[in-house]
Amino acid sequence: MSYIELHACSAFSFLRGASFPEQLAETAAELAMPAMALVDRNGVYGAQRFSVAAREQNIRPIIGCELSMEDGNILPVLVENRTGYRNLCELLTQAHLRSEKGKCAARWNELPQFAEGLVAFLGSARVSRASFGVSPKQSFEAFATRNGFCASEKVRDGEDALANTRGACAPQNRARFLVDAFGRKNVFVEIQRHLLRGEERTNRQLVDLAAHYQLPLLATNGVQYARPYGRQVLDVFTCIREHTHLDAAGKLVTQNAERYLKSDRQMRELFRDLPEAIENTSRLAERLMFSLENLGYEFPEFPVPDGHSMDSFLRTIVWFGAQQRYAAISSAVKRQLEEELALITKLGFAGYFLIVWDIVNFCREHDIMVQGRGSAANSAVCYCLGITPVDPVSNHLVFERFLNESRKGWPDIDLDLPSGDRREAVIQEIYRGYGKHGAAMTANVITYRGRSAAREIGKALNFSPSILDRFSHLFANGDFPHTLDLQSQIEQAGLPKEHPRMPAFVRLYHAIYGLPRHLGQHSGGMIICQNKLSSFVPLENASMPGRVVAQWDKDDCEDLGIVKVDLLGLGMMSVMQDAFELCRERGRPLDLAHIPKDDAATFEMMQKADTIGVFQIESRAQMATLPRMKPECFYDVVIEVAIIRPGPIQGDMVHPYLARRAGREPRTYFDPRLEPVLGRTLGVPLFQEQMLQIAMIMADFSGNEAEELRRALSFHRSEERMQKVSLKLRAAMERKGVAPDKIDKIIHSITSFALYGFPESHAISFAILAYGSAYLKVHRAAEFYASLLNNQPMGFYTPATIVKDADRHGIKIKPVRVTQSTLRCTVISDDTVRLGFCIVNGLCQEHAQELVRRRQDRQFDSMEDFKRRVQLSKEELRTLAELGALNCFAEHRRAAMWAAEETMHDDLLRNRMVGTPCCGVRSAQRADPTQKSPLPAMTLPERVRADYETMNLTTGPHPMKLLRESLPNVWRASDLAQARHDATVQIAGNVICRQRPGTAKGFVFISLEDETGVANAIVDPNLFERFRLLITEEAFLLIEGEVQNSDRVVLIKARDIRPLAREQLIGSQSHDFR
Amino acid sequence: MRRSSSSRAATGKDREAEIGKILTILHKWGIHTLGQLAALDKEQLGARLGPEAIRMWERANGQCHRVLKLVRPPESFEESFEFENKIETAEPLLFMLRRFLEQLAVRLRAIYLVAKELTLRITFANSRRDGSAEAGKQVYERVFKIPQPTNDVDLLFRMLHTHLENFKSEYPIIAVSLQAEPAKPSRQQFGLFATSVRDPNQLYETLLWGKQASPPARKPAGKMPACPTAMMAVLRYLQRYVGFDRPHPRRFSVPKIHRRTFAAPMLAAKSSSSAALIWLREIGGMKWHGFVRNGICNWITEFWRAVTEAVEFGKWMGFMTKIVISSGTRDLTQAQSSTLSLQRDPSFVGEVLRLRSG
Repeated sequence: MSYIELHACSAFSFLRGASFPEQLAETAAELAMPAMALVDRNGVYGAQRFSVAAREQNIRPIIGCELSMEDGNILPVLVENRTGYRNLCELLTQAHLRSEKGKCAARWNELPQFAEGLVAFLGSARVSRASFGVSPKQSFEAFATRNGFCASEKVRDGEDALANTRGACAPQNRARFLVDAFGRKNVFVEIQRHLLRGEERTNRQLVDLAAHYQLPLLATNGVQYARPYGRQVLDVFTCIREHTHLDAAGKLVTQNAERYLKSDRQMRELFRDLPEAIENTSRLAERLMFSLENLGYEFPEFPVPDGHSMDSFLRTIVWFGAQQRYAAISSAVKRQLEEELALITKLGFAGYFLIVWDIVNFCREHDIMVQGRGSAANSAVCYCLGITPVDPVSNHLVFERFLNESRKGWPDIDLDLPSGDRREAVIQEIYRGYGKHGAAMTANVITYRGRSAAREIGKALNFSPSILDRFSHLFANGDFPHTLDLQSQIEQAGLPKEHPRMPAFVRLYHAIYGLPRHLGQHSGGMIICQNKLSSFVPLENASMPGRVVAQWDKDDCEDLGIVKVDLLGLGMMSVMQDAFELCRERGRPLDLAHIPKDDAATFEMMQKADTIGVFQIESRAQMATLPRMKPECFYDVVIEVAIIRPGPIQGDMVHPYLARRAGREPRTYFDPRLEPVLGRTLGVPLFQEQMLQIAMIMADFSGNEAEELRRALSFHRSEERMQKVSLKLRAAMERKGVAPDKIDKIIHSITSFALYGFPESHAISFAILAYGSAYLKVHRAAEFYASLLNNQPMGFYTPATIVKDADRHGIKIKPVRVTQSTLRCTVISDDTVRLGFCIVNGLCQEHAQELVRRRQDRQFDSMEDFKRRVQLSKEELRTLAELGALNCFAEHRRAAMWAAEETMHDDLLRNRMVGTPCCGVRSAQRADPTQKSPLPAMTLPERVRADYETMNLTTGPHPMKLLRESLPNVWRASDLAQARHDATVQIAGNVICRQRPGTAKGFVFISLEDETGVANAIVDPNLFERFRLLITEEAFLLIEGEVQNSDRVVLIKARDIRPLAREQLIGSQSHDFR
Repeated sequence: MRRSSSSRAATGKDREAEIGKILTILHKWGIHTLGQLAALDKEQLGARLGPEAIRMWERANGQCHRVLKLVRPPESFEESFEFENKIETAEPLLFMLRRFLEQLAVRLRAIYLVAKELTLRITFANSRRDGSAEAGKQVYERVFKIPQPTNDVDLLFRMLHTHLENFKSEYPIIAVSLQAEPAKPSRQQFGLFATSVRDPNQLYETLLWGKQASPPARKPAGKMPACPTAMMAVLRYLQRYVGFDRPHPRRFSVPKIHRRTFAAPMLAAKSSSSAALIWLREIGGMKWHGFVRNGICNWITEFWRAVTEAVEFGKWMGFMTKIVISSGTRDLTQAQSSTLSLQRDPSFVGEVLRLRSG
């Protein structure tokens, strides 16, 4: 019988383990270990990933957990059967939910209740230091009492555990307690040997203890990393956890690198005096047969009226919905619905559809916009239930993309909701319906990425904070390793390459990159359960109040067949709903369903790429495509949404499509048989559905096989799996006699964008919002801009750019005034918007609401009246005066600032009373209100600067306008359309976006905003490296380069870049991303 | 009322923050020059920005001055190290202490200072029987006075080395620290006022030590033995092998400083061939103060410790060249079982007298 490691922690113990579960499984396989247990701290976070990886390596996964007890001790437990797993989940849930996020403390007295089906480990070599000073003659009973038999957290971390363990308020004789709670056969005495001084003394005592209680010994290695190198990572993690650095960590870090996964031979050698401790690992592992594959999860049943089953009720409401959706139910619709309903019944998914329908109904009843997205829009049932707005029958969408017989998991219905309070209301309704233990958000594991990894390692290596800040600032969004390696990045941050710690930094960076850091919550994924969800996965508190989060992420939940409903917040839906409400309030109602789909003005605006603020088609890349694409109908918008995606771009689909559309290239097909499928996209596959249909037509794949192909390609988890399906596809096409060159083309196009391509249904759903928002921008501009400003931050542009865009569209944006503004931006007339207090930096929302309430009682008549009636802080008052909101009480902003600073007469009295002399000025010397301010009025540049400092935007002139006269050779953005191709020009402006897309081979796009619009420049990688600091640090740039003018899209190919440094320049923040 | 330095520092920081805040507001007001500030109305300004702004206004108008004071952070000359694993012999300490001394010497030299006193602290891992961790840890502390303050690492190290050769403890060591007391180096013209002593430190260690106040071993480093029989055993050894006489019944006229402080000593032993006498005086409890006549050595500690130190000192001085202690200091408390052999070096006394006479 070989040794089996039964106590291993992965990186999912969060800063207490240094290897992925997959790495542990892989190493265990190399060591020919037949089984292995993953015992993460306070959870089963990595259990699913470990199980999958272990099974792939032919290792039997065993699940367990290290429980943090109330007195600081750690109790490792392993799961024997499903009851044990349920007990563990409920125990963990109970312990987590009564603690704040990130904390967990199980109570000793609740162990007996949840002990069934669990195996506990008692004692460990890690308490060795705790026994310092204990005489060998001292009885193990006393030892047991003193040390609690459990590995102490602090001991592992290198501290003296004596104080920790002694204070345990648990039963005096914990050994007996554990035996009573778990049963004698379920308690093992765990012994570890890490070649540490003094550990043998404890081990001897543990052996004595085991003999006394007749408990079996169990050897483990307390693994925290797969290979010895992991010790360095673990030490860094320890420093991060303890908020210290390696120079000061001292005894906190581990003493040697012995906690790696050891082979049978190594362990036998270590425990040659206790062979039974090794043998017992196999014996115990044989008992632990639980697997996550048989969780026993059931989807909640939907309560249906008497006389109905869920299937029959679903059928009834679907047909009812169909009558409302379709003017006449055609045979095609009827056939489609019957097929879908039959499949849903067969797979037993009726309850799922009903629950989603119920959520959608809740939204409708509470006036919350809701729209299904993703592949759900391929389903006519979803359309009839009102979940999705897209008719799959008339749009020829493929149902198999959504649901097919071979599908193991649940169908995926994602609901788009307005972000913010409305979405929270829906989430809370689900919690209310299913209880705190019945529903949870899925987790989102936050991992170490470029900036966070570098920062944390830098801290641990005791680098100066200024270097770390500079690194974070310079490489905020990571960078391209092929143009600048990590060493050069950190060198630019101020650390020389020859720094003695540089090699360690680089090594650790690569080791830590991607490891889990902490658990967050997924943006919208919710899981629900028929019984207690906490029986299947431990739940814990999220940092947001009222939210409960499961310990698994959405992929884990999907793998385990736990149903998930995605409730995704879309800022634009919030904007649109707000805009519709404003329209209704202003007496010109409008809603999404009644927007005409063929509005010429809307398409004209899109063709001009005048789409700042419009959903999805506002990005630089989209705006560069729109003038070429020239959308003329709704379906063009669908294509526009789908075409600027990494998939089509990588698959070289964009240019062929645009060339064919412009008539520069003939419309051809891979095969004439594909004309019906690819006809609407001019022979270029752009959607996932088309890929499925190509496989179905050219390779005779069934719907299920085609979906399987898509999934295999999109997962990219296994190269082998991908190769397998590609070969299958190729073989099938060869059988059908497709020419080899066509096969290559088809396979290339399928594999390249399968990963990132949109499903057509999803693109249609998004296009509805894109078109709707564009329509609002054209026809309800004031309402649109007001709503857009009210829902910031969102989208691609800052409020400053949106305000300037509104200005260019003839919408007058009026500044904040305390006598007129409300909390949110308001529409005054069809072409005027008044800014609200929500855009003022540092103004507390409650204070703003109080201000509005006081004003509603009675308008303010003077500064003194305002100050007396509204209790604002000095800072808030100062800010309001600075941005001009108090100009109604003074002749200019500085006069208002002068008046605002004056301490009120009442305040002086009050201060006197409490004994705090205020300023030492006699109250009688108060300024006369009629007295003029001695301060000079702000100049125009000063006003613009003050605006940006207080609101991050200005309602005055763009900063570039102030400089225009001093820049005679610089072209305005609006004039560039007239520039000759290849001419050399200079452009200048506020950098509003720096983008280095992954598909652009290191090229960087810079958007410069001036008073007339936005000009775009492209910087090649060499030039970027030359001017890197300039480009990333300067808010205003002057770029000289050649004009690239094609299809009315102007791009400046940069040749020289200079900073535009002027005292009065202050701009908005840039949106930088990859 | 006097304020502590920390509260003064906090007030200073607050004031600095307050001034920064006022400057920000002034800039927002468009006040960028002293002239603009001075032009504002003092009382109006004070009513808005407080007394600090009034002070600033007064300074801008030349009505008050702010005298700058140079504040230097206090220098600390201390090096310490906490061992990852407990150490059970004193030898590893020497490596650390050498490094400490080098560090301290560099730092002192950088600001033209020398060490006039070294304080050695050794922390033991003797947690109390009841198990409480920190409370029971004992610290051994010893101060070395340096007669001629110096930065000479070798010389300073020799002092520590000599001391540690005899250092014994019941418990393992977990930390060590060394603190230097800085002093200005003595200035003298070469040759004119040069001391006649070639090496004052050496002389101090050999001769003058005895004239100092008692070398401060502030805390006993271990348990005190229960009976003075070991002392007698050592004296017997001294008489037998080194040739000291029996304890002299006559009272010895001790130096003034001793007379003021301590009770009269007991002549413990006398060399038969020289004037070297070992005197012991009980100073209360089981502590003995031993010294050699004419100030060859002078120490205070537990009596068993004093004996071993006397022996070590003698060895170092060449007075005794060979010592065999069968099983460590603890065994000395069991007088019957201990063996101690000493070998006399006849040249010792002559050397002492030669040094003494200058």
